[in-house]
Amino acid sequence: MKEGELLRPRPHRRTLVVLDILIIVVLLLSAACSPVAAPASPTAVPATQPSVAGQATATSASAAPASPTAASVTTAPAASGAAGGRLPDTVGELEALLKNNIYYKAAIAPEVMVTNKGKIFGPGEKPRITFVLEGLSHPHLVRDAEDAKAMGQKLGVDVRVISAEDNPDKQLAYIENTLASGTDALMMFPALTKGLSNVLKQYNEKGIPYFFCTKGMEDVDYTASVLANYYGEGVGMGKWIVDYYAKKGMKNVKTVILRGIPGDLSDDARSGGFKMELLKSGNFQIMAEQPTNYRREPGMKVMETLLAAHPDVQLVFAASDEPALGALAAIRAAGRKDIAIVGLDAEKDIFPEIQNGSILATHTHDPVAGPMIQMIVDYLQGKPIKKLQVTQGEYVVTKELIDAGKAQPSF
Amino acid sequence: MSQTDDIPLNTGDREQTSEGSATAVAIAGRAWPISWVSMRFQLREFALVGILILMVVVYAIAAPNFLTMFNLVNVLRQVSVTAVAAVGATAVILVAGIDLSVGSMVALTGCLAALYLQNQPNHGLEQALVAVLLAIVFGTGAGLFNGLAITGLRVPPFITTLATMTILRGVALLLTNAYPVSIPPGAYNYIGVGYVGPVPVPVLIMFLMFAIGWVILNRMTIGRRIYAIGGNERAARLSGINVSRVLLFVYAFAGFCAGVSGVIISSRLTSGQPTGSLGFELDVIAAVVVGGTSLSGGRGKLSNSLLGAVLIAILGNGLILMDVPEYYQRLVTGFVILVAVTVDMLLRKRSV
Repeated sequence: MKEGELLRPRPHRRTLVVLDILIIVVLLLSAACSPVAAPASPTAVPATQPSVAGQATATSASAAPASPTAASVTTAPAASGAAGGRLPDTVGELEALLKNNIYYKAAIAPEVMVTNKGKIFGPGEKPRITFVLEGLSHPHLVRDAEDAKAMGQKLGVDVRVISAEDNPDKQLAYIENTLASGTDALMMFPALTKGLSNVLKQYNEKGIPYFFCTKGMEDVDYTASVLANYYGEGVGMGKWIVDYYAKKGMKNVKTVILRGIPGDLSDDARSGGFKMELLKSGNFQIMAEQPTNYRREPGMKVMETLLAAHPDVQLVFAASDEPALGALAAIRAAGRKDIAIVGLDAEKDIFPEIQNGSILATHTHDPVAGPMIQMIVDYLQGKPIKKLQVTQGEYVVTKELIDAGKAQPSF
Repeated sequence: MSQTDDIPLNTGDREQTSEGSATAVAIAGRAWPISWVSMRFQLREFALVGILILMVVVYAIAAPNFLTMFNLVNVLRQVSVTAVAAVGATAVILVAGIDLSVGSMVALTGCLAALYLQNQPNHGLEQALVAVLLAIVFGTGAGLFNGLAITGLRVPPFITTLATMTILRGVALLLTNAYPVSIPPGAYNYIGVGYVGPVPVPVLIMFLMFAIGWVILNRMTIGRRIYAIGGNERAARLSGINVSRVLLFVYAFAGFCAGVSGVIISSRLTSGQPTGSLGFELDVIAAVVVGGTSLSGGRGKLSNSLLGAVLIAILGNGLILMDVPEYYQRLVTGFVILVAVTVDMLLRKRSV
């Protein structure tokens, strides 16, 4: 009996060793997957400088004897592709990815007009418009809901706003309910880019026009859409930053990209458009690319860690102002003043930070729900409207522009 | 084949044990239980520390700049928010409860402090103190509400806190309209970025909270009662412990800790985030469970929750340092948590 008990620990200890080895293997595998530790071509290895531990001066990434130093993405082999939520590292692959992106397609779409072939509303009639949006958990969405209601009041139409509480299943249910309760037009800020084609087909059959606001959907026969110019915003910011460093005469700018949600088409379009411009210019070394879920807290956490990994970083691009402000908090806490940050969205909170020079620039991202209500009413009254378009007239917000009073927050 | 292999091996083993002198066997027979218990105990502690050391070694080799003061201070600062909330969550899980409202509580208390500060003309020490108190008192109050619903209305903790999670998030969105609330520069923000000597203030607060938690759980009667209730609530009740009062205390304490977390995160971000800290409760529970505290209550150590939180934080930190793409990060994180808990459970099976 006792002997048996005495013997028992042995296999357990063996199990422990096996499990420990498993951890090592997994960690090493993940190290192997990462571009930093991937065997780089000889040209990609920068001259190794002695790294100063914990010091905030510009040093090259630490050269641990076992791992090669950070490989310049621009020279990394094309095989490292878009694995695990990372954007491709070559212009060609990135173009291939963006070619199928609905926001890219919308940005380059030729102008097509549509007119109402169904019931035409007279100027005195009050059409009912239902606006189903993905949720109200982001200032941008709140602004859209308010704008739509305000425009409805102004035009004297009945606008009903329904929030899907960030739940795609609820959005489906609300769209089904709306179909049952009846509406003259449906405006949607979809939570997903695919998956509602069955229910929306019923709208087609019933002849109820539906419109996409800001975010679009694939595989559906919509009436008309105004999508956010995600691609154009990324490209606009990218062109501006390329130009900025060209004027400064700085070469090989060490950049980190704080993405939103990898795989999200809007993020692909934004971060992809930005990265495309950097890759084309060949003047930037992209050192890391990490997700932030478009939120401030993850933005800060990721930036803190990236500051440790790459103390020599010079430029931070965030796919939204929220992670940009998070990155700023991390950079401030580290006492660094030599890192440029650019964001996207032009939200209210970032204006004072641009004015005091903590953030270099952002790009407007205007809500479209208000003007869209006008457009839908036009359509219902029989006027021709554009089938597919993106937000127009957006611009890069800089300190000069704000100081001159020529820039407004988007939300 | 295998049979013939096994049999001589077994007899060989038996021979080995019987080979020893009679006295040695007798001594070993008596001395064995105590030394073995202590050894098993040490092994249990070692499981977490061992995995942690292992991870540090692997990262030190594979991840650039992992072993720098700057990075390690980063990790500690990042872990402070989770770890502080984990102090309260450990107590909750020790009574076989669960608190899912932590994330919403952290977001709301941070927003409350931010809203208060935004409406003040100046931002000195006094305003900062009021803001901190506001967050902590509200957190404690929300926790107390959880406790009242659980003990008074007899709603299971999972359901109660699931409901308060939604309620508190709703309140935060209502108060702020989903906009982040900026905190003007002032004394309050010092909590997030300040240092005392070489130690960042959030880390100091974290150690302070662990000290408080340790005293409560290990040096006070209520701590013993918490363990007793988690071990067997009925037995605890029958032995004269006022279970409801202890549960009220535990949930209020969890709310208190969440309030402190809310203060740290809002001052670190210099803003209240109504939509922030989503899923934070699961991070906290993961830290406690990886730390070896049993979800069925009564078993666990507070200090191990800190180890658990640090383990998860270091894991994520190293993966970002190596610039591992996000999807792989999730894969690795989940897998390592699973392995860590498995190792811990294997060792627990052998402990008394």
